[in-house]
Amino acid sequence: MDDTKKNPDILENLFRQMPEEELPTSFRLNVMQQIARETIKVRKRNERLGLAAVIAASLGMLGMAVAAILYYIGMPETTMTPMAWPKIDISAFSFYFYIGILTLILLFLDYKFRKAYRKDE
Amino acid sequence: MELYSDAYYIERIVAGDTGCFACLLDKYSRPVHSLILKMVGSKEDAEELAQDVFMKVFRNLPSFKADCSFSTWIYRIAYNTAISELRKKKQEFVAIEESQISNVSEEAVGELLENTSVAEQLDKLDAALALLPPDERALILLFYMKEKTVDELTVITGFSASNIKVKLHRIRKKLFVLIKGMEEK
Repeated sequence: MDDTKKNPDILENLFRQMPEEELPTSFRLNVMQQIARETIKVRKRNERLGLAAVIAASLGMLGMAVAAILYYIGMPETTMTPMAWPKIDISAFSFYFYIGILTLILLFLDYKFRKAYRKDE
Repeated sequence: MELYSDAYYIERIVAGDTGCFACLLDKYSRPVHSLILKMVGSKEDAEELAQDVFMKVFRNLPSFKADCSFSTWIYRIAYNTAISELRKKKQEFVAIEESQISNVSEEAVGELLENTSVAEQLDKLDAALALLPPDERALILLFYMKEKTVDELTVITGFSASNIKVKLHRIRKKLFVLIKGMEEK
């Protein structure tokens, strides 16, 4: 096909004479405005990332400092109190489960009926 | 004569001087827009897509490795952007029979066009182009109008060199069939 380029043909001559379409005058301005906005967005994103990195590093250093202080001073003695877990009444669970399932079924039916009604409209 | 090369502007833009993008825009906006316009056929869509192309160029400029020319790279972005946009829309194109493609000759079309003015010939070519699928339209426009070589077309379209040669041959024949059809009418 490269040979076609060496020997001018009808199409080559015609395509050469084909005019390029004019661009709208606002095109350059629009693109440059978009680029300015994009640049600001990227700069802000980089700033936010930098700030997040500084905060993470500061928290890490603070944690290490606290750990180091506790290591040198010694851990304060704490009295171990047994944890009390609340007791759940399991007998009422089946009733709540039944009500929950019933609500879900009714919601599902409501959704389906509404969808069918909108389709009919 | 150009004051600075594309590489100089790219270096400046990547370094943060975004104003230099206007120079690249001045150089490439018109050819890119005209290619997209020929591909999509709508002025509004073409303008929007051309803007998308230049935004993609700006965002991906740091990743431009200069393994091909900047114009080839920019046309690849334009081609892919336009093709993916056109895939969203269902379009129908004329089907040309294989016998018609193999029977048409460049000489016959040349003789038919001899008696018509250049403006008329261009109108017919434009009309024939509009009947081709957009990827074929893009390929022939890039080859003839943008004077891209087969190697450059492989970078732009992602097809192999042999595939592009076959495609170009068939597109030329299709255009001859369509122009001949118009002349005979």
